[in-house]
Amino acid sequence: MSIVRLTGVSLLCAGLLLAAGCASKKVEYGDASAVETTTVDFGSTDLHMIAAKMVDSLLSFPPIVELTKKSRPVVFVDRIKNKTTEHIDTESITDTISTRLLRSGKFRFVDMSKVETVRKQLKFQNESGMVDPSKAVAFGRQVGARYMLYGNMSSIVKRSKDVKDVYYKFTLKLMDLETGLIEWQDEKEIRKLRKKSLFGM
Amino acid sequence: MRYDRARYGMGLLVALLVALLVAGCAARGEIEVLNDDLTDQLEIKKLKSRLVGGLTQGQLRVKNKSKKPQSFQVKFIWFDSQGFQIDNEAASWLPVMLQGREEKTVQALAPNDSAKTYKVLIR
Repeated sequence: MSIVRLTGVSLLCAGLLLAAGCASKKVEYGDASAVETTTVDFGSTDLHMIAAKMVDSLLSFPPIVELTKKSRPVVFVDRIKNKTTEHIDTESITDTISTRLLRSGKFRFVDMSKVETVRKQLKFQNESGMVDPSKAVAFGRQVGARYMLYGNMSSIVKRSKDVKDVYYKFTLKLMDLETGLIEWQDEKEIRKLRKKSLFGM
Repeated sequence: MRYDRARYGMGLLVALLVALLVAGCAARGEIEVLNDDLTDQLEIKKLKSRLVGGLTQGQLRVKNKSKKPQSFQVKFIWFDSQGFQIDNEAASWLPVMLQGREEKTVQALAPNDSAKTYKVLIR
């Protein structure tokens, strides 16, 4: 009887240990540049594909090549309208695009999200009496943007019993603020499929 | 008259040298296939380079040798004149999908004009 009970307790302990082992969590670093296909939703690889296509297209478009030959045009980035049903951080996409454009040495940017902070800082420098007036940054010396970068992102999602098909379209435009002309525009299309495997895994 | 002809010839020579210099400035590229299986399944047709507004553009032409669809990943990495990688954090693997027997081009532009050589990694 005691042997049976002992065996039962041992099996229970082994089972608990096994369960605890299975449920253990392991943290490790991954490669941020790797292709990510965890789900069919918008992911880091989509962001990289869009940024690469848009930056390469803009910098190699002949009128833009001509434009950036002798000067570094000043651009401001407007928001990307998210017309998909997903929550997508479109600012992250434009951040990557503007980072690459800036680092190419062909464009310069003004940051409209920091206007209020800059105004406060200039007010402090010029009106608080705490900053040497000869070293204070003067009002009215900033450079205005000549171009505006903006666009939108849309998606078409189709579902069947076993398949989910997501089609993304990202459109980006560069407008000359003086003339109102679109100087450059391009699109990036991405199609992602999720198929149920044979065993429903 | 003879002086004009000599000056014309000199001008032509300078223009030719400048053209050769500009043409020769595009970064040189090489390909490295990291996955042995892919070397049998893909045919690397051509790797071309050119200058676009002072930036090197690399273009890879690749063909799927098999009848089945083939997917692989490509990454362009760029190096300056001293062999240092440019913007190494910005280079990402990008997925490429080829249908059976399909031929496709994959291209990328250098991050800036300091790129002197580049490597196309395939896996």
